[in-house]
Amino acid sequence: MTDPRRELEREIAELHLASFAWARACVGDDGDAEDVLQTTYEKIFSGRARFEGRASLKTWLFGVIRLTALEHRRRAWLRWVRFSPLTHEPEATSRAPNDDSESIRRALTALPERQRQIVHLVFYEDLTVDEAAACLAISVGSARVHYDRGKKRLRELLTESGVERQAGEATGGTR
Amino acid sequence: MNAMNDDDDADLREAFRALKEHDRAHAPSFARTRARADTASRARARTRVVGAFATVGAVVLAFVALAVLRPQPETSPEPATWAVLPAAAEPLGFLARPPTAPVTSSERLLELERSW
Repeated sequence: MTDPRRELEREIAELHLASFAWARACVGDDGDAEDVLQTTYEKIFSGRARFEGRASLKTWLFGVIRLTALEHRRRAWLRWVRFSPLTHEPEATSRAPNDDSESIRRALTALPERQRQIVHLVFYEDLTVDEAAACLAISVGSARVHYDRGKKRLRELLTESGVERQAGEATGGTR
Repeated sequence: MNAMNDDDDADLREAFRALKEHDRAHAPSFARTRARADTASRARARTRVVGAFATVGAVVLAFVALAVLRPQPETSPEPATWAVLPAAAEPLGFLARPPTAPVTSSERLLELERSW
């Protein structure tokens, strides 16, 4: 018989990459995402957050991450470190500015939170808009509005940074 | 609606694919994040214990300080007060005396003169 605690840890380890990306979609940058994920794991493995099987493990885990990200942002706001990650300029990195992943990260950071989250769930996690709406606990209609606006704005931002053209060439000019 | 079936979004899917690849190479490992969570958890527990001890210590210290610094009552009462206390303690004691006994000090003096 397997130890349920070890089993949970193994499943969470498998979802780690997706969890990290989701945490970043919630807070805006990699450093904060790691802090949020660390706090999330602390909550789960100390028993402060418990999986009761009402939803899939991934949906539950993403919910815990989303709430932890909200707490993290509230604390950051209270400390006046910054007002919001949405207005926060991404930290300078050693990566080249024309790096595709860097451009999409910057573009995502510039999106409003809800749009960023829904676009992330659909394109990164391959969820449908309906599933993303359930994950964010919002109505499908609202999710569709955020999805359409987010997609439009993201395209504009990527066009500005020149990534869209590169992506079009890479996919054989589908647009 | 499934985004995967929407060909118009191929450009965005491609951009996100690049992001995924970047994350695979650069995201912090599970072991590292888990270890940091454990360290933070232990630090939080330690802070709680230290806080509890500090609170108990502060309460004990406050009691000791109160006991030591409280103003003490006067330790040298007036002797005269103590001397009259037994008499004052029995204000109706004269009622127990025989009716022929002198009640006042002047009567007691008269009694003495008579006995001479």
